Amino acid sequence: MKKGQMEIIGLAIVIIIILIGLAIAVRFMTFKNPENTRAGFVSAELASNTINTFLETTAENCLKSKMKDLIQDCAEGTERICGNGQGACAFVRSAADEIFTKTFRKWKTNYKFLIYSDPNHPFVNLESGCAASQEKVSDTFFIPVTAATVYVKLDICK
Amino acid sequence: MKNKKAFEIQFNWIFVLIAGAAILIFFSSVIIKQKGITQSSTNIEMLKQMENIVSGAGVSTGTIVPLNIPNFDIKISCNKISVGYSSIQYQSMVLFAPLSIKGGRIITQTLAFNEPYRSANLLFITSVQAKYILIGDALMTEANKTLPSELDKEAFNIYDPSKIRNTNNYRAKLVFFNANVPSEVPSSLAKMQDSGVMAIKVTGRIEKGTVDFYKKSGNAFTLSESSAYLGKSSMIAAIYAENPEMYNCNMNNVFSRNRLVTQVYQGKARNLMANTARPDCRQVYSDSLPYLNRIESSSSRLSQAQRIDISDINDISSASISLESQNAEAQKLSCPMIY
Amino acid sequence: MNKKLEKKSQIQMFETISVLFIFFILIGIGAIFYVRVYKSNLDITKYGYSQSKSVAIAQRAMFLPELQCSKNKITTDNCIDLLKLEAAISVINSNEIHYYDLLEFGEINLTQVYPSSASAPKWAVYSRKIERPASSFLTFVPISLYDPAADTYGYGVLSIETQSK
Repeated sequence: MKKGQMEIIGLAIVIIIILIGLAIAVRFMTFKNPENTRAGFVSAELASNTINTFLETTAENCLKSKMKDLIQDCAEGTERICGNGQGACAFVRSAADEIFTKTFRKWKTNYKFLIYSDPNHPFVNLESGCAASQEKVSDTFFIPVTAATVYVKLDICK
Repeated sequence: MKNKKAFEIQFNWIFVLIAGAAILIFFSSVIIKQKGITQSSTNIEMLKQMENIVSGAGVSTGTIVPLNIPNFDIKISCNKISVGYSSIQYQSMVLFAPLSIKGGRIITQTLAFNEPYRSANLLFITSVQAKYILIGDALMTEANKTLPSELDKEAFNIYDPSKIRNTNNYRAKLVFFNANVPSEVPSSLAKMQDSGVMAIKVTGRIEKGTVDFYKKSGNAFTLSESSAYLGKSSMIAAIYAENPEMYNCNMNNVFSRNRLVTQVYQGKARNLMANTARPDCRQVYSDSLPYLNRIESSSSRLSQAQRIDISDINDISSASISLESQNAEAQKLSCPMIY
Repeated sequence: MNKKLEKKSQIQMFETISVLFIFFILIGIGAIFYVRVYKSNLDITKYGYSQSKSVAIAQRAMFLPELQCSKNKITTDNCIDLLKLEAAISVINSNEIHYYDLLEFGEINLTQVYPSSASAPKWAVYSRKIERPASSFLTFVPISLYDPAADTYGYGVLSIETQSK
């Protein structure tokens, strides 16, 4: 082969190698996942607002008591009886279950909701689809009672 | 043969020159274009930051936040924020600031407009390179307490031009509280550009009053326009606003919000009247409606006025006082409160 | 000999031109790839902006003075006054342009979750949707529903959908 022909073939090979390299590089670059800046806000706001709203909710047919009053009663053992015959602890449990069924379960969001003075014996323990190893966003509210503190904790699992 | 060789070399050089120039022009144009795109992109990034600040103001109230931003020249006007050739337009923005914010550090402050119920958050932005000189009585003390400590500000009970120093600020504003604006600009500020020095005279109390805007013309202050304020937040707004046009435009937006929120409270009062069995509560709600109507109609006028009129301010102020007493009456009677 | 010389210079010229041609083709290919990558990055940035805008609009909706609970000038966060709600919906519907500036494209609905009732009260607070949005985000915000007449707080959910063109 003549020298000129060899040079042209060499140039063509270089171009082909560059094209392949660029194609691979672009494929890697375009597969970059978009950042999810919103998820952090949504989870944090959801956890905080859920507990806050739940505690301020007026219990239906229970002398206009708020959920946090019923939780205090439950923790202190001075259970008031609500109009439907349920004690404070049972009322809070059923109200929480109703609310979480209509919200978190409906949205298919995994959660763990706990109300306790002693973490080994929680008054309320509601859970849906949270594994221990999962990444979570948590919030905890504190309710002071006579002899202890009641913790209201919500974990939203990702 | 010799001619052909000589011609070949010259032709080669000409060809190289033309080809080289073409390549250089091509790449230069690409670089200049790319620079323009990057500049626009950076301006838009800055605008997005400003948009987030304006959004955040609507949520939080009573906050003071110093921020470090890139050293851009941000231009603020009625319902518009611009950085370079990029700008954001709003329908009804509430932002009191100098026309141009320079420097890398800005202070943002929010105050609620509570006349008599919260209807809007007023956002104030200024640069730490702007200077504020406050002169006057007890009203000055109140304003000084409210303005952020991070601001470059000085406070005097009595005006003494010899005490006013030029500390190389790009902007200086003198605020006189129940005191006359001098006809002459202080000598330390006389050499500054006319657009960089301004003064306002606040006459009245914390609840309401008038604001006179002055501009520098050479060595003298000349009155440009008079306006009015209602409540502490709008008094502070007059301090931050660059000129009467910006003040009036933003206050139009504030009163527009006030009108809408008042309409909601009118609806609430009617709902309360319809849903209560107690005649004493119903009387309170019925008595409050005329005051709400007055606030709504005055706010409506002020939302479109070229200048904020003291007579409408007085109307809202007196109606607010009466409405507050109705609200207190509702609380005394254990009726649901209007607001 | 002259013929050979002519051919040689012609070949040299042709070589120079073809090198330039290949060079510009390479530049063109590089530019196409660069633009594709830049466009992809722009799309990601645009998506990021849509997300932060969605957060801003959600916060504005949560803190609207037209809806927020207040008692004696003190506002309560995370609470909607039910007696203001119906009046607010009417005001919002009558002032579309003003509220578009605040809430842009999207929809805001409020549902009462507790106390439960057969009718499951639901309110359409704001609606301005576009048919084919480039992006759409839905945020659920648990919120207290205050009834001033009965002085009771219910549990509600504010669903805020924000759309971008």
